Amino acid sequence: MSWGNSIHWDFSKGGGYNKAENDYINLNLGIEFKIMEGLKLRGAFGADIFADHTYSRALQVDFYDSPESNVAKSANSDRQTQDTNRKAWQTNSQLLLDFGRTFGKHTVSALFGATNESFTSRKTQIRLLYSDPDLGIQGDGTTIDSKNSFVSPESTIKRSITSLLGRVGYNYDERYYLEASFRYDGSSKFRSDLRWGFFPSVSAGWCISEEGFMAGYKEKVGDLKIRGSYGTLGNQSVNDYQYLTTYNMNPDIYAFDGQPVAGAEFKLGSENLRWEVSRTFNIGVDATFFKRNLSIGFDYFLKNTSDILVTPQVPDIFGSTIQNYNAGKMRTQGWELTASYTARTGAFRHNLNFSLGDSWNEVVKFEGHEQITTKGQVSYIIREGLPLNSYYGYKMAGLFQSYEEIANSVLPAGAKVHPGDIKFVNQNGDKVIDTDDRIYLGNAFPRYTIGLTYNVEWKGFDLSIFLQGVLKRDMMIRGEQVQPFAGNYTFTMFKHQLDFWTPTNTDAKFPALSKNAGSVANNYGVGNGSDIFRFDGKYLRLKNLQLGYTLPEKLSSKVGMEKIKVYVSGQNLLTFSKNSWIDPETSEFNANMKNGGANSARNYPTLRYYGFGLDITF
Amino acid sequence: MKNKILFRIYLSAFVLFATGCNDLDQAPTDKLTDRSFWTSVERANMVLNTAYSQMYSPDKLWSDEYLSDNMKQVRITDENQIRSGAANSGQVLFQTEWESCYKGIKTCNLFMDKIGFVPDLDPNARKTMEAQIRFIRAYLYFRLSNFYGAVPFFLHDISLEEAKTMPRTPRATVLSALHGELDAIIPVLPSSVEAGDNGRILRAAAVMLKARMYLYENDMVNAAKYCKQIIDGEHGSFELFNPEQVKYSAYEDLFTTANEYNKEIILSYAQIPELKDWTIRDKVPRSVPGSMTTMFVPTEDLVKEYVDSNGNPYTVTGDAPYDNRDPRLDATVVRHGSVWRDVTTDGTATSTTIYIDPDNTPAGQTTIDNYKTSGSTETGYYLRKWFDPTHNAALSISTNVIMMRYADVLLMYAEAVNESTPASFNEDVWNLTIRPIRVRAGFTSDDALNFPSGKSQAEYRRIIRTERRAELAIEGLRYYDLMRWTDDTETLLNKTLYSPKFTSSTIQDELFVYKFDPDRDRLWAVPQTQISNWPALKPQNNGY
Repeated sequence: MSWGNSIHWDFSKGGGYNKAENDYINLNLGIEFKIMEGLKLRGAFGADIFADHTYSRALQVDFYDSPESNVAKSANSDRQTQDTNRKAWQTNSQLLLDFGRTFGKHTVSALFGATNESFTSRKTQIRLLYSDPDLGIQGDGTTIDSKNSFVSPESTIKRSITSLLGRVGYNYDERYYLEASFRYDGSSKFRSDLRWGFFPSVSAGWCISEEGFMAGYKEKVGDLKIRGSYGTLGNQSVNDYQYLTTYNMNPDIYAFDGQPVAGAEFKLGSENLRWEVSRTFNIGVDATFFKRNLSIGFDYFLKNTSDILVTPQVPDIFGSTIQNYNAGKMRTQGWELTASYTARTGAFRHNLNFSLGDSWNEVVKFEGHEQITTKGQVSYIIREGLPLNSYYGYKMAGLFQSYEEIANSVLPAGAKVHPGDIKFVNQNGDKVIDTDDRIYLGNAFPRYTIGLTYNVEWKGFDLSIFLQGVLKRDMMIRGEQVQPFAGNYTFTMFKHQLDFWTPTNTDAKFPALSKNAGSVANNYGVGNGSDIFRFDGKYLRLKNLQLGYTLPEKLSSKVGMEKIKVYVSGQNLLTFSKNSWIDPETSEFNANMKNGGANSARNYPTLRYYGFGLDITF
Repeated sequence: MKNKILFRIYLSAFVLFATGCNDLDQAPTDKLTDRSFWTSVERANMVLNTAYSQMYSPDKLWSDEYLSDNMKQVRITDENQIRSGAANSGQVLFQTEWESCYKGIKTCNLFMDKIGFVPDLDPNARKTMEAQIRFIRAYLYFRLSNFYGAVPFFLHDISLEEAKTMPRTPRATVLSALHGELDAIIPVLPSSVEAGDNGRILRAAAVMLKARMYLYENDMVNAAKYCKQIIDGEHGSFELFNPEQVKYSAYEDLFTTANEYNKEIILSYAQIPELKDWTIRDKVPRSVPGSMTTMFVPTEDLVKEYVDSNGNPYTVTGDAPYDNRDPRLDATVVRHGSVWRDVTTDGTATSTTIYIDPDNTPAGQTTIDNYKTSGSTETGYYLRKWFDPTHNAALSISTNVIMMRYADVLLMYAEAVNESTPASFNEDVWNLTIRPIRVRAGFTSDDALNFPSGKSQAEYRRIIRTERRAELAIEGLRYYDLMRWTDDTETLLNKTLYSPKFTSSTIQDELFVYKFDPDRDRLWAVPQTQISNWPALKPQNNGY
């Protein structure tokens, strides 16, 4: 149903169904041929074959939408019936020459080979509208929804990457490690002369504690190893065929005399589309202490990504957009500290793992200089010198307390402001609050992520605790969780919104309530986003807790079992955060930093889960 | 033996390896590339069809209405922000309008540049196709220049590099070039088309666009001249739609699917049932099956503009404020006590009384349409115009969106005559223009139909403007009228919107305050993202 409805429809049972059959075959074939001592030829072929069929039907549901209503309404009145078939092949072929031998204290390994990954997918679909109410088949008045019906050439994807790769490794006496490798990748997503990318890497390690002069240290303290690497990698995560200028066919784009006609829309190709390249430098130390009961690792990385595949800013007057383009440079750096400690006190065995890491990024170069996108009330900016897709908007200078204060303040053009409305900071000191007064308002990237796992065992009992958290993060939230009675589509005020301005509650967190028609520009800075939409995203969460008991082996063996374990567990039992009304783990950005639209906090809350389990090993 | 088996395994592995891989040269199977496209007239026609689809849209009609004082949006929108005088250059609407017009212009320019590649194209067919493209391009540039004043203006397909450095051309230069374009295509365009081609751009559309441009430029002599050419039938035959068999009324029937392409329509934007349709489900009473939360509703200000059945301005809010009014009021707006007429899917005609006044809703009747009920109207009115009984169950309608109709030509002519030669605004002009419009609207009283003689130019101006608002309400024209009536703009756009005065209330609710800064709000800002990235677009319009 449409989002605008004030009633939450539950048609999950009566409204129709989806029947999906997803067949999946995984095939792997490997052969190995020994040519001589230490030299092998390996061939491998893997295929994932998908054959999916989905049949879905929407059933018409009649209802009244209020107790007084005498007008019957119906949902799903177009009675859609749809069949979708998809077949896809993902193949992976490898031919590798593998060498590995040890000569005294010298160990040498080498690999050379060719691989190919191919993907082919074809899909067909037909959708009927006004299908027979009983059978869902073509009947009286049935039409075919041509927008949602297609033959296989209209939904075919074919892509391929072929690579040559090689690696040479050497280590001397488990003390010095050296490795050099390369990939030479060719992708069907780029035009033939820009298709191939060469990506070399080197790494080296030195196990200092293995040196003769460190023998004393090794005995008293523990192992010590330093390592470093420098590597390049290519990224081709763009849609297929983007380097070609195409004309997309669009049936039913217009009509003459009521008869639909087809159209063709021009789409400019990014002719020079090529590999995005990242160069990563990494340095790390591993050390153990107390007879290897404590191990500590520290890593630092610096990653420079160039030719970043971004959606570029093209002047609108050009009249067409380009989907992706190699147009940016970005620098990401970070560090991670890990520690693991094992101890035994009496009958207790403890194990503690801890990690703390941080990473941050900066846009170094962006062709077109900057790009501001607004989703909901939240604006994002890509600007050189700032983290990618940072929050952008007006900064609040508190709430107006009196008409005198309003009269003495700089306001947005045409704004009708009352006490209790938001006051914005006039960044450029001119006579109006306008788009030039917007500034960087933070970013959604988590800083200082921590993880802590503690396991303890005692006479068959074991307890495991896993905590995770983020110590610093900004999150912008839009919609009804921030604005009470947002638009005319929510009719609710939430508890966390109660601290709003009134003449007697002047030190409020939120502005005065107003009708929509009120001071549009000031109340929430709607449309351009201000930091009233920004919340503190830091949290600490007890992610997992498990308590178990393993029966003594003597008992379990009597009933013919090797091991019997019972346990209770819980997930997300406790969360410490500044905002209880939103799951702090949600973000508008996915793992690839792609923005899926401003976070409205409309997700299902994280499940708190309690479990009971029995593990039996025969 | 063992070797033979091994060999077979190797061989089959090799075959799998070789056949499992896709070639690195892949082309899409559902799109044509630049070279393979411009090969036939059918393909070229597909680009022409795309240009038609990019010329206008129902969304643009609504947006233009929300910018005017005819309708009010419930949610906080860009149009609301512009009307409250609080717009800034980052307004999303400034960006989307700019972008969508230039997208259409791209299609047109691409067509003009590439049509020559099509082999064996009949020169006459090519000229007719080009004339349609040039009309669409002119229409889009005119729209752009109305919003932004000076705009980048080019009549060929520009490269990305050109786009980055293209400056803006003054509005007067753009319009004069557009007049030249229209002059060139008027002789080429047909004055009528065969039935199957209904909806194609006619010669009269190009002439009417010229008249509209002159009207907006305040060149009333030329506006009158081109309107008169159409009235005199020089560019095809057009008349007010006045069917013998009416369903609801001639005026209401004009906006229905059943009467698309009638003799009054000069240009309309095509819709197709189920495939390309629009909806008024968020504008009609909540009790109408298929409706949803009310979002966009007509204003009391519009309701008050409709004259009484004798043609006198509506003044008093009496006990029955909606009785004896311009019949077009009930064909446009739903007010307390309106009768909602519809046809159910099985063909039964229905009529339901709509109750909006909360204190005047009879017991047992639904209160869902009541003013200020959750999700209902915020102004005390709902929309009727464009409702078509041939809607589907979700209230989607496929009625063509009227862009130009003959009644507008008549009203433009009346206005242009009164403005350019006041002495000539006489009974003849009245009987040619406003009288037939009022007859068709359903007025019967002589007071309303006969020429009100002996009035001043200003008084006629008032009558013409009122008539124009009533006849053409919710057709996307009011905003431009407000902008060009510079003597009135500030009064009309600095006002407070009120709710109707219902039985129990002694005061009217204040709904919204319009604010208009004449130094600033006549034009929109060039979109902030564009001007900051491509400084060739500078200077920004005044006040942003």
